[in-house]
Amino acid sequence: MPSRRQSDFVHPKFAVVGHPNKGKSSIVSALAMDDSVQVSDTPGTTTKKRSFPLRVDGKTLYELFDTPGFQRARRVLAWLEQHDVSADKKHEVVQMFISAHKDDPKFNDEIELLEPIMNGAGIIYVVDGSKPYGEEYEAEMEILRWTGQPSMALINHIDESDYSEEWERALGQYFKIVRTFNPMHISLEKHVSILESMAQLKEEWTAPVKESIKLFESYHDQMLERSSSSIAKMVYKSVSMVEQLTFNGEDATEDEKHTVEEKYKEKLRTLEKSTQKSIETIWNHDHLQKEQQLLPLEGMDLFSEETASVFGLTRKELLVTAAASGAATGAGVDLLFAGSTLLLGAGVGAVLGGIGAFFAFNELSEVKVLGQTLGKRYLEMGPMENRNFPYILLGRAIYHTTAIANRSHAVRGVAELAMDSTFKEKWLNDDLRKSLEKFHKKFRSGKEIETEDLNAYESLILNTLEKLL
Amino acid sequence: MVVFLPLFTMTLTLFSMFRANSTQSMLIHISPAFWMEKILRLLPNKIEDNLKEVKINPLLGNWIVIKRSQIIALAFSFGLLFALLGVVATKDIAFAWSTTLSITSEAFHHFLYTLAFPWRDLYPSALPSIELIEQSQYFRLGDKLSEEMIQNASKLGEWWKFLAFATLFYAIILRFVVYLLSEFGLKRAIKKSFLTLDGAKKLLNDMNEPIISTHANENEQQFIQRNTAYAQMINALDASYDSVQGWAIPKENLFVIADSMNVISPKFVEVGGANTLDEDMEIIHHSRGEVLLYVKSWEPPTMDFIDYLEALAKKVDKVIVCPVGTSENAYETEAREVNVWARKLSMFGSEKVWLKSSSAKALGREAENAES
Repeated sequence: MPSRRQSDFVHPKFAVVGHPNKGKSSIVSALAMDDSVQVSDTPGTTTKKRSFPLRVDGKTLYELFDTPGFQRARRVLAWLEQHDVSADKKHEVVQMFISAHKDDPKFNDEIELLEPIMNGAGIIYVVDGSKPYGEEYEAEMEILRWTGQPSMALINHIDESDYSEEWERALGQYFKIVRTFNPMHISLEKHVSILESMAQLKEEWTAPVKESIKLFESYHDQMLERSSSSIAKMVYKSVSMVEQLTFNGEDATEDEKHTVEEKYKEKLRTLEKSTQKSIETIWNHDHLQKEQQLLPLEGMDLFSEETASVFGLTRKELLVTAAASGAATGAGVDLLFAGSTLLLGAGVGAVLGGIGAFFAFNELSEVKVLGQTLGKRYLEMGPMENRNFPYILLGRAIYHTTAIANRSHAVRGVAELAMDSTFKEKWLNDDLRKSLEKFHKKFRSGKEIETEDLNAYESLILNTLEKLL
Repeated sequence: MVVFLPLFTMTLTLFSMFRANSTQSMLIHISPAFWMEKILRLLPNKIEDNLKEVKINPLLGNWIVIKRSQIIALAFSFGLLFALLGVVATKDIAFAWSTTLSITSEAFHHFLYTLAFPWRDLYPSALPSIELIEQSQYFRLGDKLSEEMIQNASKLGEWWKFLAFATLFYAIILRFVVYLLSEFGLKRAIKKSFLTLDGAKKLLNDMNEPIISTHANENEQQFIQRNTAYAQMINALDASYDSVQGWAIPKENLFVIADSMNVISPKFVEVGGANTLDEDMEIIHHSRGEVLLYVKSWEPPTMDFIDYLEALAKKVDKVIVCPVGTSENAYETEAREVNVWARKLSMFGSEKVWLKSSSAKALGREAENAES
C-alpha cells in the first residue's frame, strides 16, 4: 500500500547526544545555524531536549535535537542489563526503562536524550577528540546500541591536542560512521559533508537529506545575493545622501555648519550600522556582538595615505581610476568627432578626471548655502564628493560580510572585525576598480539611479563576495 | 483651432509617452502640470516640507505629469464645448471664414469633409455645405459681404454644429483616448516603479524563494551560572592517604600520578569507569580514613560521580577530590576546569569533601574575584 506508506512518511530526525560538555550544543548551533543556542563550558547547560527543524515553506525536511548529556549512564545500563533479551528485543527494554522512570528526576537527562531516539531519531554521538578516550564512555555507547537506532559519531575538537586516533579506534566498534567535525570552523562544504553522512544512516532518509543539502546550497546563494543587494543600496544611498538644514537670517553660523556636518556624518554611520545589522540577520547572526573601528569620517588624518591604503584607495590608485574614468568620457568626444581630435578628448578627460580626484581626496563634501525660498535659506551637505569614500565603505562592508558568513553559529563572544591592508588586495583589482568607479560617478551625481544600474553594481559585489567565500 | 491645437498637443503627449521611460524627458517641461509642481514647492508652511520629503521615482513622475496634463486639457475642452453651446443658445452669432491663400470653396469643402469623417455620415447637417461655405466666406475687400452674407445671415449660424462636433471629437473624444493611454502608462509605470522601492526586491525574493527556517521552535530556558567559590579547598596534598582512588582512571595510571605528586598509600583502586555499580559499592564498603580521589579535570562531574562521592563520604572521614590533567600536560590542571568541579561540589555541600586547587595563585585570584 504505497499511498498509506507515503502519508505515514516521517521526516528524518537526528538526536545529538553524548557525555556532558562535549560540544553537543555547539554542533547543533552550527548545523542549525542558530546563534541563540546556549553554549557554555559549564556542564549541564542543556537540561531539556530542544528541536531544531529544517523547514521549507512549512514542510519539515529533517529535525535535529539538542539533548542533555548522560549523567547516570552506568545505572541505566545496569537496569537494561537486568533484562536478558535477544538483540531484536533490546529496544523494547529501553522503552520500558523510559516508561518506568518517566517521573524519576534522577534520570531526567537520560529520559530527555533517549526519548527522541526511541521516537525514531538517528543518533549523532559527540565526543571531544582533544581529550583522551576513557572507559566511562562505554556505558553510554552501549546504551545507544541497545536502542537499535542508526548511529554515527562526530569527533569534535574543543582544544588543540589531538587524540582522534584512539577515539576513532574505540568509536569504530560502536558506530558505522565516524567523522571529525569542528563546529567552530564551519564552511558550506563541511556542513554539506556532515549532512551527507547523516543521509547514509538510513536508506529512506537519503532523499530528504539530499534535498536539504541542495536547499542549503541555494540558501547560501540566497544569503549572498541578499547581502550584495544590501551593500549596493548602502553605498548608493551613502554616496548620494544629502543633509539639509534650514536657517533664518543672512548667513549660516559656524555652529549651524557644524550641525549639518555632524548630522550628515551621523546619518552615514547609522546607515552603515543598519546595513551591517541586516546582513547579520540575513546570515542568522542576530545575537552577534562585535568590535570594530568606526567609519572613518573624522579629521583629515583618517584619510591619510596610511588609512587610505588600509580602507580605501591610495591617492595614486585613486588618480589612476579617476583618470581612466575621465578618459572614457573624453573618448566619447573623440568618437563624436570621428577621431579627428587625435584623441585629444581622451587626454583632456583623463587630466580633468585626475585633477578632480586629486582635489576631491580630502574633503567629504563641502557645506553649501543654498536657495532662498520665501526668506528661508538652507545649508546642504552631500552628495559625497570624496572619491575614496565609496571604496572605504565598500571595503568595510565586504570585509564585514565575509567575516559574518565565515563565522560559525557555535562561536560565542565578541567578534573582532579588524581589517588590514592585505584585505584590500584580496577583493579589489584594477578591473573591478574601474568598473566600480563608473557607478560611483553616477551615485555622486545625485541623480536617481536606474534599477538596471543598481543591479549591475549589485552583481559586481556579488561576484566579489563569491570569490572571497 | 479646435482641431489642430488639440492634435498638436496630443502628438506631443504621445511623443513624451514614448520618452517617459527615460529619466529626464525634456518634453515634460513644457507641460503646465510640471510647473504646477514647481510652483507648489514655493509655497510656505508645511506643504513645502512635505513636498521636499516626497521622493517620487522620476520615471513615475513623468507619467504623473502626462496624466495630469490630459485631465487639464480635457477639462479645458469640455469648457470650450459648453461655452460654444452656451453662446449658440443665448446669442445669435454668425460664423465666417477667410484665408489669404487662394482656396476655392470646393477645396475648402473637401477639407472640411475630410475633417468631419467621424460624424459626416451620422449627422450630415454637421458638415457645412458648399453653399454655406461660399456664403460665409469673408472678403476683406469688395462688397460681397454686405450683399450675400446679409441675405443669408440666418444660414451662417449653421456652422456651430460643425464646430461643436469638431470640439467633441478632436478635443474631447481623442483627448479622452489619450487620457486612457496615459492612465494605462501610469499604471504600468507604478507597477514597474514598485520594484525600485526599498525592500520590494527583498519582499519579492521572500515570495518567490522558499522560506527556510532552521531555528528552534521555542526559546531556551536560560541557564544561570552560579559563581560561588567552593569553601573547602586545599592547596597542597598530604604525603600519604589511607587509600588513593581514581574515578575512571586505571590503576597503573594512578601509581604514576600519585608518584608525581609524592603521595603514598597502601591502597590504589580504580572506581567508576568500566566498574559495575556493585564493584564500586564493594570498594566503598572497604574504604576508611582519608581518601584521595583523583578525577580527570577535563571531564565534567556527572551525577554518577556525585552518587559515588555521596556514598563514599558517608563511609569515610575525609575525601580529597583532586582533579588531574592529561599525562601530556604532566597532570597540570587549568583553573577553569577546577572551577567546574568546585561549582558542582558546592551544590553537593558535604563537610567531609575537600577539593584540591589547580594552583594556589590561579585559584586565589578566582576566589578574590568571587568575593569581590
